Amino acid sequence: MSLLVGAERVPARNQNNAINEEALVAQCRTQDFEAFGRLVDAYQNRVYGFVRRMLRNDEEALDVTQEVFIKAYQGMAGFDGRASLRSWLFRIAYNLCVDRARKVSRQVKTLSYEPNEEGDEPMEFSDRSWDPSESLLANELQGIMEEAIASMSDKLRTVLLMHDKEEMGYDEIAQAMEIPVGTVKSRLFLARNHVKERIERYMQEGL
Amino acid sequence: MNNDLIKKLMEEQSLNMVEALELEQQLESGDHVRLSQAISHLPDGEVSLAWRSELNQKLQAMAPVETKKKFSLKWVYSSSAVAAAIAAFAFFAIKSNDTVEPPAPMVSQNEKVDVESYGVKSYEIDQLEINNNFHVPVKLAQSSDEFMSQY
Repeated sequence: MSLLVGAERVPARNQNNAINEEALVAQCRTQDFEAFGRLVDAYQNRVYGFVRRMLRNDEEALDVTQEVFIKAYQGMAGFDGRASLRSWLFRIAYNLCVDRARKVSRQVKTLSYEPNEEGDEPMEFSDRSWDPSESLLANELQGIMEEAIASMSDKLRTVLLMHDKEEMGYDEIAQAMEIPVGTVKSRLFLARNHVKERIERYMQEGL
Repeated sequence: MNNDLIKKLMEEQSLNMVEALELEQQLESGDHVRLSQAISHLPDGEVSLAWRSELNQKLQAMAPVETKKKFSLKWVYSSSAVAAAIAAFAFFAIKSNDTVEPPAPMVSQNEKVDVESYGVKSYEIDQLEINNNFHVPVKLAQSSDEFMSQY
């Protein structure tokens, strides 16, 4: 029986809040309102964080996050358990974000990625003076990362957030987005390089 | 990573074995791992209690009929139990009042006067009856001689 530790990330989050996923899902399938409330408690902030970064609009993100849980509640009886509860929820969230983006006819910004004319290793860092894990507390750097995430295409952003923020596996992401695993890896590489490029530019400007 | 491979990645073309391996290595390189860790530490969103309350209302509105029935039955049972408890309490409260202190007879001032008047009246009637019982018949004298002869 697996534990739903994904709801509260390890080790940054408290493992004591871990809940039994299988039992919870079984209860939720019977439309148990209270059990579903526990599920919402476990995931609401993470789902909201994901949707907010995807839509880049707080108000809209709040609405869509509610929609995610409403859809989940309606579809819980049909949840077969093949995917994890987490990836199922994020799949719903992703689909709703895509729908919302289509509705407002949002122009999907394409990633402007120009390889270095000099050829090889265009994204390699020579300067290792920055270290994201050490500089994590610096709000400025966080802001740069947030900006970089916001400025990439929806496709890249989704993969980056699902993998690096939500710690979903390649298979889970591929399943959620209905794309090949190889494409997930390609997008992840490009997304990270985009963020790295932004941070590098920021560091060079700061020197 | 060379530009051709990057171009392939951008166009989402399929990769050969060597390219796939190179991509894998890049994703597990130090820079990528550090960046991944930094991203994982970005803060989540935080929804408000009002938001949560609104969601609960929406979910409750969609709750199946059975749940609503259960809810309403629970409400009926609990309210009946409360009503029964109140009734029982009231009953025992009244009961205990009866045994502890019996109510004193309420006699008004007028009633007292009535009772006294009744007593006086009945005394008078008794006296009258006594007088009647001890009545001595008197024969009236027909003439002065007869009158004088009685004394």
